[in-house]
Amino acid sequence: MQTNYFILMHHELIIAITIMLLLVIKVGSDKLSNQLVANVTNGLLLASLVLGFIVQPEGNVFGDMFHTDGFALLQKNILVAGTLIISLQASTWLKDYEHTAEFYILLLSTLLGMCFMISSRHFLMFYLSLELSTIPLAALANFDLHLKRSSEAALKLIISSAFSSGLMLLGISFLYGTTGTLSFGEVASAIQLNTPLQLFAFVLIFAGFGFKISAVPFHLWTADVYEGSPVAVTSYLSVISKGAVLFVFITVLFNVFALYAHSWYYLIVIVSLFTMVIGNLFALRQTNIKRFLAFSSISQVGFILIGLSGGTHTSAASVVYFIVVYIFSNLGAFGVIALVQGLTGKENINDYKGFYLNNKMLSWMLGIALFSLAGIPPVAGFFGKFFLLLSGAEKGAYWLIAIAAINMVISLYYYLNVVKNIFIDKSDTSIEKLPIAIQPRIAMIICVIGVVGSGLCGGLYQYIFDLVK
Amino acid sequence: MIPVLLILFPLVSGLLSFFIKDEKTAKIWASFSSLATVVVALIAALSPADLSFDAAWLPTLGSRFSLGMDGMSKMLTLLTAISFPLVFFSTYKNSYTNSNSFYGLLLLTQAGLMGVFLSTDALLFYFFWELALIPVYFLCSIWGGEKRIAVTFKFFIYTFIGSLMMLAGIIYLYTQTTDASFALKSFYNLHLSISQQAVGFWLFFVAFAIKMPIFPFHTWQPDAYEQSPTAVTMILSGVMVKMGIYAVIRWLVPVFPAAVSEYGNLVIILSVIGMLYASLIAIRQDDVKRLIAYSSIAHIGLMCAAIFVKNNIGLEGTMIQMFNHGINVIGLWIVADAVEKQTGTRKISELGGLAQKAPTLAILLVVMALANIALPLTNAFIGEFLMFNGLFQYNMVIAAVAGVSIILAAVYTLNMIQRVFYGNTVSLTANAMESNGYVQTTLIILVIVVIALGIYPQPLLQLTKGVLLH
Repeated sequence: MQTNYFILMHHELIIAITIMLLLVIKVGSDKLSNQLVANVTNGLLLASLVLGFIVQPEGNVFGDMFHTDGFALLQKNILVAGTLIISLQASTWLKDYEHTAEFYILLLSTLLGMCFMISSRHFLMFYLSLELSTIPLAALANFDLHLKRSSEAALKLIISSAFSSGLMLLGISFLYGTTGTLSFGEVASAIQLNTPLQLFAFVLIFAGFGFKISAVPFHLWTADVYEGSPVAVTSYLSVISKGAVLFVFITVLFNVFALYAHSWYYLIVIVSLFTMVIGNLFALRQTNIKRFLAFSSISQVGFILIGLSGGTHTSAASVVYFIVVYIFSNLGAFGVIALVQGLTGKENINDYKGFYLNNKMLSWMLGIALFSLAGIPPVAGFFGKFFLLLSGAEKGAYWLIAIAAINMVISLYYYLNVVKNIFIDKSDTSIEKLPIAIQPRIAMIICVIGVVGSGLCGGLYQYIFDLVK
Repeated sequence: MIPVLLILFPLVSGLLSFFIKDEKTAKIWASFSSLATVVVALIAALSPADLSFDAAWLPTLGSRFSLGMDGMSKMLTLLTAISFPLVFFSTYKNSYTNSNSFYGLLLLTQAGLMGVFLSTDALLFYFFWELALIPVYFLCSIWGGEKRIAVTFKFFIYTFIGSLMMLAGIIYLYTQTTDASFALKSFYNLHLSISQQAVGFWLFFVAFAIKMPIFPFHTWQPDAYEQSPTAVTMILSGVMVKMGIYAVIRWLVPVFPAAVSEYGNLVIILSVIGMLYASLIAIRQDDVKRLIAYSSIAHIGLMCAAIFVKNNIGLEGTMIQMFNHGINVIGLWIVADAVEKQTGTRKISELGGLAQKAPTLAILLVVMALANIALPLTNAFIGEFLMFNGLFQYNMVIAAVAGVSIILAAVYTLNMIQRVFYGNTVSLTANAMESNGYVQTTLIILVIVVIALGIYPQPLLQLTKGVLLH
């Protein structure tokens, strides 16, 4: 029994051990090498990832509050892999940074929270892990210590998170009031149709989720926070944190509120429409590349919601698959942006004019990533979007597909605009050739392989689909 | 296995081309690897049986990596295979910055085109359809003319809108199949009501009409042809527009028979309007490239109309005309490029008397131009004859109206020849010379093909026989 605990929670345990280790290192030595800290973290994350694929236990602990199975492990693996890529990309930025150890401690704390969140089968557990994953993020957003906008980002993030957590907590307490339990399974069976209070509870919980995944109309914090935070944190916020919340959202929607499927279907469809359209329209006008990706990521969430609206195994598989693809594509883009921003301080789209001239590798990486985000074959983004649309079409909402298609055209315009700046425009002040250190280079190669490979090999989707079942 | 090789050869050689440093090596590499593709395509075309390949791809979705090669696919892959070495050869003396990427992207386009002509799975088809487009975006916008960026943007957005409509159509059809499959066969076996067919028909048709292009979806085309580097224009007009026509024959007409009967007349009328409209505009053009672009719209219009008349004669004409138009239009572009290289201008009004300086080029152009107006003994004659015959059987009035475009074609083509090549030399043509050996050799090969197929079109008719309606 005792060992069983360890095996079932191996992701969480390795992450927790890493955090402890970093704390000991930080306290124990005055002059610690940043490289050492990064290597220790990356090594242990890699170990956790490998272990995650080899050891696949299934079971419950903590009185069924914590549940793990193949699907949950897959989700955790995805998050760990994404965090590993971000950690590799951040090494240029962190090389001479005085608080590297703290950065990693905070980063891993949020990851720990997310892992627990994915496995939680009880609203209390869920809420606690959600907070564990959010609060360190606000501190991370403030990590450009000398920049005012970074503090502003942190403040906005913490206030909006607190607000959304409050809403969610209210929803959870209503749910408890009407059903008398907080366990996912018991709530699901205790829920009854036509109970206004339960419906209201659902709407509140939905709003809480909406904030975390920055769906319209809960998106207002996104752009400022993304722009103000250090690039590594921005990419973490836009990919990992969103991904984790979406994973849980699948469970909550499909399992806990399965009875309300008819009601939440329309809610999700409407929210997804607004999210796509508004995200796109704002993205069109952006000149700062981080803000631009912030709004484009809002519109991507709209697409994910289309996939979710299907409400079947296929929908869950398509959402998880899209998140994998999205992690590779978005991190690919952010990796290049992080490098450019770290070495030159430039972060306007115009600064990328003539980028291809001196930085061929980086240009191709960014180009492929943007094409993938736009959803154009042969890169994986197309398949991601395609599966989402397919699962949305299952309920016969063809008009939704049509609107999504129009949005893909709009988004193509702004993605191509960046591609045009990189490859085609000429500039006298184009960015010099940037040196790429070994860690970001590895991260970039992983992203390229991911973006190209996860599309072409159909096995990945099959693998996810089988696990969902 | 042969169908896979047809995609794999250009794909791999295209990717490898990016790693070649030297310009000359890149050219030689591209030429030889494309010749290897020709050999494979010839083997495929000569093999008597239909070829196919099938492998698992996305089993949960019912999408397979399945390729099939009937006569029409054989003919079009052959056209695709032949045109690339011709393009490489005729532009051998042209110099491009970053030529390794230039040739690499062209070869990737070829891979995409091959895939389009071979796929028998809708998802795969869409995949290649887009794959053929993306390299062209880069080719046009990096190596194109002055207005390239705006023009390419328009071109890309235009075709992408079409593609997405097709994607929506594919998803729609997929949800209607009984066996949840993307296979062409399952689409053929669909039993859709007339209103369902109408939706699918228009979703697919707009995508194909933009690609061909059919009036009124053609506005991207003259600009794109004019602004692209000549090698790319050749591929665009010689091979890429055939994607649209091919797709109509393979993916539209058999899948939506009732809707085709319902809306066929409208499409034919649109096509015929386009023919006349484009011919009239071509007469007014001063730019050789734009003239050829509009003439191409007129020809494509006829091919499209001949499909929708739904009789075998028209269809047969369209199919062999796809091949012949590809050959002829590439020839015309080569001449146009040669003229521009020699004189530095494409404006007809600034040219004259070129035949005195470059008699060989003039003769070659005249043959190509006569093929463009489909004179007997040139390859285009037999195709146009069949198409008009089909159109005539469908509706005499429409055939008569469409027939006016033949006269108009003679007007603008002969006018162009006369003003560019005959008359007195002007300042720009005074120092012109014969074009280089590569251009001449390519043109001579093309002229031989033009005349050979004009006298003996049997091979093409034989090849495409199996695709006809029964």
